[in-house]
Amino acid sequence: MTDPDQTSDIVIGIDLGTTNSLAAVVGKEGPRILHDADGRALIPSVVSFLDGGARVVGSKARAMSVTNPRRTIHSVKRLMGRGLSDVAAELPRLAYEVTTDGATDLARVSVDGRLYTPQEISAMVLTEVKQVAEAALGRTVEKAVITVPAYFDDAQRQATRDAARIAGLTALRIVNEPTAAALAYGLDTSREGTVVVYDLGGGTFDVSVLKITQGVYKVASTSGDTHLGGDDFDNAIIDRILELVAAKTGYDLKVHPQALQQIRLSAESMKVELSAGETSTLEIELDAGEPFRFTLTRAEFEDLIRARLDETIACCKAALADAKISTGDVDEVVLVGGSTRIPLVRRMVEETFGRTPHTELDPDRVVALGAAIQASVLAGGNRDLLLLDVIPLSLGIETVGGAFAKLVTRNSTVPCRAKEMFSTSVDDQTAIDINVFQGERELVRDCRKLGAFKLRGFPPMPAGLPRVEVTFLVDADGVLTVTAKEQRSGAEASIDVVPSHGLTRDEVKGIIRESIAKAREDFAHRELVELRNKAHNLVVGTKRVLAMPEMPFTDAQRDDLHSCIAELERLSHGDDAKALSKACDAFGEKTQALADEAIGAAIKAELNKELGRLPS
Amino acid sequence: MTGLDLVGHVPPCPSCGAPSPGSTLVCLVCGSVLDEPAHANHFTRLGIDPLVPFDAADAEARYIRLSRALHPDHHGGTDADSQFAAVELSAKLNEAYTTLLDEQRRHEYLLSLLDPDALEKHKTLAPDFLMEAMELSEELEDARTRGCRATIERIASLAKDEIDERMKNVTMACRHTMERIAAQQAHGNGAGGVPSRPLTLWNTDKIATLLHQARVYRRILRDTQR
Repeated sequence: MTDPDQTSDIVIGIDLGTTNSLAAVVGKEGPRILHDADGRALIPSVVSFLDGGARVVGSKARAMSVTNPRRTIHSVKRLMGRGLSDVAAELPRLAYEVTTDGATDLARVSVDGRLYTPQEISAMVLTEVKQVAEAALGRTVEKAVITVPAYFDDAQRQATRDAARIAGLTALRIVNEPTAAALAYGLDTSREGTVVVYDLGGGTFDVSVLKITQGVYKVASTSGDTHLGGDDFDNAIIDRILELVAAKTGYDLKVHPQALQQIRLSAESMKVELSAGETSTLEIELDAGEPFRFTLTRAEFEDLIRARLDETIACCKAALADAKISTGDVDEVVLVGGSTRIPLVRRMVEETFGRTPHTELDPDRVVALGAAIQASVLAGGNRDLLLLDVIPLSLGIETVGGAFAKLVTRNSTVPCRAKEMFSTSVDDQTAIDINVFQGERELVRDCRKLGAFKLRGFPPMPAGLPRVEVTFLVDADGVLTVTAKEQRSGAEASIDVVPSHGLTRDEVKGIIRESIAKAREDFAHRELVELRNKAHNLVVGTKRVLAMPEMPFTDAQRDDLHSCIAELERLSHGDDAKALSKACDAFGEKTQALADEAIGAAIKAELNKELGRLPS
Repeated sequence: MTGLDLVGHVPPCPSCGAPSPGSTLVCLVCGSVLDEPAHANHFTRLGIDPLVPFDAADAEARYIRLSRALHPDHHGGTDADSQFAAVELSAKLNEAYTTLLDEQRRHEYLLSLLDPDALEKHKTLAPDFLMEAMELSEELEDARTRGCRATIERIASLAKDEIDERMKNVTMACRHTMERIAAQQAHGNGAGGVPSRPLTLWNTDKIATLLHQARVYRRILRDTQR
C-alpha cells in the first residue's frame, strides 16, 4: 500500500500558533525541531507591512510592533474562520484595524486601505515557516501536517487548510494540538492507559482525554475554548494598567496605538516574570513626560486570571464526564502550551487530578514534535501509530421553528458520517435550502452557522415525493463535506455550499491567483527599479563625457545627446518599463557608436601627434 | 428473502478465500478491501455475532484491528478518490462500533434488522406504565429539590434493575426470533417454498415496547446523575 512517491516525499509538522509557529520533522534520530540560520526555532506569528508594499514576518515583524503598530498583525489565529461580530470584544485592544468587506461578516485585517483575510495573513506566517524548514533541510517542502486547537470548529479548520493552500503547502492532515502533544509524550515513554492533555496556549485552551493502547491513540473526548489563553492574561494586565493610568492622569491610552503596543509588550513580560518572581514592576513615561510606575504581585496577577482558569477546570470536568470516567481513572496528566508555565495553572491542574502533571517536554515545542510524528505516519514511515480523533462539536441542520437537529454528536470518532432524508413541501419544487450548524444548544440561533446549501437539479414532483438523501461526511481532519442524491430519479443533486465564515473554493483560488499576480507585480517593480538605475548611469556617464573638452563632438551631436538625456530622464520618472527599456537600449547603441567614433578620433589625433614627432 | 439468518454472518473472503475474514469491510487475513454483501450490517462489519453475549473488550480489540486495516492515515494513497474511499470505509467502521458499543442502540439496531419499522410502529406505551414512570420522575424531582441522596440512589438502582430486566428480555426475544427465522428459512428453502412472513415477525412488537420502556428508565437514570 506504500506509494514510493509518497515515501520519498518529505512531510513536516507545523505548529501554527497564536503567538509563535514552528516546524519539526522526523529523521533517523527521531523527531526534531527545525531552526533558522540564527538557531531560533520559534517564529513569532506576526506580519509587519512596510512602505512600498514590502513586508516582514517573524521576529523582524515582532520587533516592529511598537514603531509600526497599525501595520503589524499579531494573534491572527484568533480571527481565523470568525466573523467580525464574534471578535468584537477584543478589537479595542488590537492596534491594527479589523473590519469586513461589507458583503460578508468575515473578519478581515485592514492595512493601508487593503483588506487581508486572516487566511492570507496566516499563509504569510506559514510561508515563513516553510522557508525556514526548507533552509534547515536543504530541500523544498510541499507537504505538511498542521495542528489546530482541538476545539476549532469546522470554519476554523477550513480556514487553516485554506491558509496552507495559499502558502503553497498541501495540508495532508489537520491534527488537534493536544493529540499531537500526547503523541510526542507517548513516543517518549511508550505509555499506555488514560491520559489527559491540558493545553493552554497563547490564544486557545483545549483539554483532551485519550486512551492509548498498543500504539493506538483514541481520543475519548475533548473540550475547550478557542478564545482563552495567554493573550487574555496579558489583556487582564493591560486593562489594569489602562485603568490606573486613566484614574491617575485621565489619559485614554487605547487611542494611542503605539502606547498600547508598548504596554502590550510590557504586560507580556510582566506575566512571564511573575512565573518565576513574586513581583514585577513597570515604569513608563506618559505623554507629558510624567513617569508612571506600576507594581504587580504574583498574588494580584493570580486574582486577575483565576476566573478564566476556573473555566479551564470546568472544561476538564466536562471532558471527563463525556469520556464517562472520573479523575481516579486518569493515569497521566500532560501540560502543553506556554501558559502552563504559570504556577497557578500547575497548582490548579494538580489539585483537580490529584497528581503531578508531566512537564518534561518543552511546552512550546511538544505540539510541533507530535505533528512531525503524525507527518511521518502519513509519509508511510511509521505504521505502528494510529490516531483516532474526535469531532469537538455536534453537527446538524436547522429544522422547523429554528430547532437544531444534531446529525453527528460531539466526540464522535472521525471519520464519521450521517445520512438524512429531505423532501419538498411545495408541488414541483426543484430545490431545497438547508442550513448547517455546529454547536451544542437546542436552537440554531445559539449555534454557529457553518453555511447554507441548496439542493437542486432533481425533477419536479408533487410535494413530499422527492426523497433526497444527504450525506454529511466528516473526514479525519474534522472537516465536513456534504453530498446529496435524489433517490427516486437517481439524480445527483448538486450542492452549492456558501460558508458563513470562510472562503469558497473560488475565493481561495482567487487569492492564490492574486498572490501569483502580486509576485509578477513585485517582479515588474524590481525590473523598473533596475531600469531606472541603468538609465541613471547612462545619463551620468554621458554627461561626464560631454563635459570633457577633448571630445570632438559636433554641435549637432551634442544637441542630439542632450535631448536623448532629457527623454531618458522623463521616462525614468514614469512607470513604463517597456519604453524605458527601449530608450535605454537605443541610447546605449547611440553612445556606443559615438564613443567608437570619439575614440577613433582621439586615437587618430594621438597617432597624428605621434606621427608628427617622427622624423620624416 | 431478507437473509435474516445472516445477521451476524461473515462470508469467506472473495479475494483470498479465507473462511473467516473477520469483517465484511476488509479481510483481516489478506488486507483486501471488500465489496460488502447485500446483508452487510454493523455486526458483520465488526465480525460480532449478535447471538453471543456482547463483550466490550473483544469489540474494542476488533475495532482497533479493523481501524489499522482501514484508516486513511495508513491507507488510501495520494489521489483524492482513494483517500475519499478510505474515509468512507473508516466512517462506516466508526458508525458500526459506536452503535454496537451502546447497549440501547445495539438492541434497537438489531431490532431494525429484524423488522425495520417495529420501533416506529410500536411507540405507544400503556397508560399504567406511563403513570408509574411519571410518579417515579416526580418522586425523583422531589428528592432532588430536598437533596435527599438516599431516595435518589434508591431510584437510580431501581431504574438500573428495570433497564437490565428489559435488556435481558430483549436479548432473549431477539435470539428466539432469529432462531425461528433461521429454522423457518432452512425449512422454506429446503421445500423451495416462500416463508410465511407474518410468523417470522411474531414478537418484534413486544421487543419494540421493551426498548421504548428501557428508554424511559434510561432518562430517569440520567436524571438521577444530574
